[in-house]
Amino acid sequence: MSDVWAQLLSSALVGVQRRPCVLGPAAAPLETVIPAGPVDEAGLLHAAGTVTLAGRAGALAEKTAIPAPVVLVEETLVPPAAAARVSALLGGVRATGDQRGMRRLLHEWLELAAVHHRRSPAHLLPALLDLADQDGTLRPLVVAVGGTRAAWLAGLRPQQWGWMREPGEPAETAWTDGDTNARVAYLGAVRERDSAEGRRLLLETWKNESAADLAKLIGACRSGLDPADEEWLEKALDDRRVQVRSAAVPLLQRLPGSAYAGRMAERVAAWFHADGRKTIRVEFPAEFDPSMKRDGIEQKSAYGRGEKAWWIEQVVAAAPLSCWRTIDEDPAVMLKRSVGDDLGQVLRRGLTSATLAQRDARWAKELCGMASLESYAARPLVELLPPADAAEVALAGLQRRSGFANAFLSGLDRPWPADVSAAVVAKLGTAQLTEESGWRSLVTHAESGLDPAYAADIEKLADGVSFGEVLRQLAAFLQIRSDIHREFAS
Amino acid sequence: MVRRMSDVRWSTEQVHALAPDASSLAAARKLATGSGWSQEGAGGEPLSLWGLCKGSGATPYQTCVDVTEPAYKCSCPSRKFPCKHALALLLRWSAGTLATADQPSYVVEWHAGRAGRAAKKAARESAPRTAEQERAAERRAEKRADRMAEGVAELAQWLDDQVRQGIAGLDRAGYKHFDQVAARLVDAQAAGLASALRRLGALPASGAGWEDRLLGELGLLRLLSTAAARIDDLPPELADTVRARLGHNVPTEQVLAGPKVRDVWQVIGVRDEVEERLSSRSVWLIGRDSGRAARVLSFAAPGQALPVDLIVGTEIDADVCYYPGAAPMRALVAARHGDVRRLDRPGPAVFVARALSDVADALAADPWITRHPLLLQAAVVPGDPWRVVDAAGDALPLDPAAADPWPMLSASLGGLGTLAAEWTPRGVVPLTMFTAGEAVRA
Repeated sequence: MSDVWAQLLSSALVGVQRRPCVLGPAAAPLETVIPAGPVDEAGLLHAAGTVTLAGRAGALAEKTAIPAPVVLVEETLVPPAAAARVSALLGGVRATGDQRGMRRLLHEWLELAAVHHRRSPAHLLPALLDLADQDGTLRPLVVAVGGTRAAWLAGLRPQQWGWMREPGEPAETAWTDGDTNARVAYLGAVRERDSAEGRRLLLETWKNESAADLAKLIGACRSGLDPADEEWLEKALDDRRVQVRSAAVPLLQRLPGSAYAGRMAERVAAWFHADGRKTIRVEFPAEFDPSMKRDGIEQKSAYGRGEKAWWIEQVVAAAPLSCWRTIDEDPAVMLKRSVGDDLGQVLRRGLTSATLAQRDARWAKELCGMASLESYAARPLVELLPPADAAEVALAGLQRRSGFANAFLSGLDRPWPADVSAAVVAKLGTAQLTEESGWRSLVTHAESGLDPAYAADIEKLADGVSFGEVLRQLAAFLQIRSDIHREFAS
Repeated sequence: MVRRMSDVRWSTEQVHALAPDASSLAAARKLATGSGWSQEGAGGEPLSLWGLCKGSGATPYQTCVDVTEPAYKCSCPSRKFPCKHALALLLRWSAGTLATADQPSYVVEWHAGRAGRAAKKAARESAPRTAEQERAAERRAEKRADRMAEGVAELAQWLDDQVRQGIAGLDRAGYKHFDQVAARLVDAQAAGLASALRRLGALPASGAGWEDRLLGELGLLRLLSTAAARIDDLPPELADTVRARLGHNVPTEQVLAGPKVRDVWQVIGVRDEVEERLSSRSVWLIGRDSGRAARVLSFAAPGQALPVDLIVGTEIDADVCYYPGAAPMRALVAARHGDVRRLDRPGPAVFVARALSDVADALAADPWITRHPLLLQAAVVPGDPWRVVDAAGDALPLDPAAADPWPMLSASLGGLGTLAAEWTPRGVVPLTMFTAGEAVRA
């Protein structure tokens, strides 16, 4: 049969007019329908159709191993209503233009499922894995609600879903034979487990490493950082290679009570002085000295800031916040002081960086109260605060109609506490505010921040304001969230 | 034709399937959970839903749905069909929000109007034709047969030309080469041949081995045109098959007037396709007692929804009427004799070897079959290509163009289940896997 097909195809490809088709004898059972001998175009096509049909009708199954199902630990599924819900949400994410809303609802669904330790319906796991493949924030949740079954699936499709698997410690050969990335990963893993062992490995090969590799390996020692690391980090500051020095600085800044912190505190003490009770006087460093260079302070700002102001900002950012007690015990008092030479903004920027790096709630609260806050810092500063203080900051922001109010709200735990929610609802329903910038964004924040129980209150407000439809949609969104919560409770 | 949906409320998924597009559905979801509704209710005969929905104007929109067909009416200006208000009403009903009530007057009037129009249409259709009309109909039929014969002859000539000149360069000729002939076949009222030819146009771009596939399809089409030229000499069933392949439509009334096959019909799978902007839906049924398969085919123009009255994972005691042909498969559901019931595990499911022999039998009767339903007891196994494998170790490759059935694999853990699929010449297309009490779609 295949001989006949080869003859048919070779004539058909170049054309019967150039290569006439003369068929040899066909194999049984086709020899009765496809006679040997010359055929014209129609005869060629008839034979081709017949051979094709015979191939289809006569196709046999391949023989292969009999499938053996995988056996996994049974896990408790989400309740049926929640299963129907996630199916609809996934359909919505895939199909509708309203992706953002659907995605946030899906996110909340996954959080609830994870909290309740329930697994998603099996047939939806591939879709969830695909979504988490695109959106990294979903991954820990999908790992939680996917359970052993999702891990099993991921093993079958490692290119797409490989992030599902537990990242085990890389093999030791990664350190001796691996490329830079593999060695960095190995060192990081060792440091997690045993920082002294990691230190030993790094110092052992220090001399043989290139500057670029050494910088990356030093960075890997961020995990498991402890006071015993100070010695070699200080040595790194004396390295003549700039990459190595710059790699050591951020680690030293994370070591409280280090000599590095002490040197920064000394600089603060030398440069800043209380002048009466309302002013801070700044004594400029005369020139950029080698010790500043050694401690990783940049001489020139990449953002075009004034040279000396830039030194000051970097030193303030790197110095321990406790060193300011010599000026005022209370940060609130100190922040009220005016600063000489118009350096107030420079000082606040440095203090904001220091507060975020040292995660200091007391300074964070005072900075949040300032009208001249750095806008990028509003949310991360609030996130440093204990819940009651965070709520207080957000409330004050709403009352002052501060431009940072929405950013403060986004830093609160959700759902928002009752007093904050009440203030938000009041603001949403104030007719003259609906045209104000920030109102729409407040609506968006309220979609995920308000307790779903406020749906009815929002609905009532809708008739009184000019953008009532926006509020009706907010109420509908809250209602869906309320349903999602209820479905897990049942 | 009696088409009764059971009085059971629809699932949300069923309502979703009615939406003409994604934005309508999103809008309907919002409306359904909002508070804009008043004077709603459900009930009456035929079972209907109604309600007033607040819109942007002063007067609320009057929306009603007859869920038995389903049919819709709404006073809103939307040209979507069904509109978001009708969809929202269905969603509220499916969520159990609507209370049972008597139909208000505007719903009763709507039903009366529709019944009147339907009666007039039926009277027009069933009225005996006058001699004049009979002659006109005969003339039309003759004229059509002539044009079709011309179209078939032209196709045969074109096919022969392809192999006379050689097909080697057709991968660079593009779709136009095929579409021009297809357009002439549409003019000749041979729509079936036209769409077969358009499908052929995709083959030269289908990757390695395209020459074999193209020659095979050209050959089968040439056999069809030869059969069409001798249609009067063919056995009557084969002649019907050839007519159907050419694109001759048998009127619905004629199909419903034919023999009825009563069985508990299990809805095992559905496949939606789009060709030339026309959506089509194939719903596959298997008779629980007879083991016979049937394909219920429906079409929707852009912006219209496909019907959802047959739901995968349900079964219904009903009469089915087949379109005529040598291997009857396309069918209509005539009378329904009971409520729709949930279907956990359809049957009878077979092994791969038996399924292949069924496919061979079907091909022997109708050589131009390009799809055939399979109900297998089998597992889906990942690989390149994926395969379906039964308990005897017999495997069939999946159609590489079909999406990999990860959801089925996840639900079955690679174990055996009852798998509804389509056989096609390029491989198996999985449709539904019934496993662990669930019907998992591909």
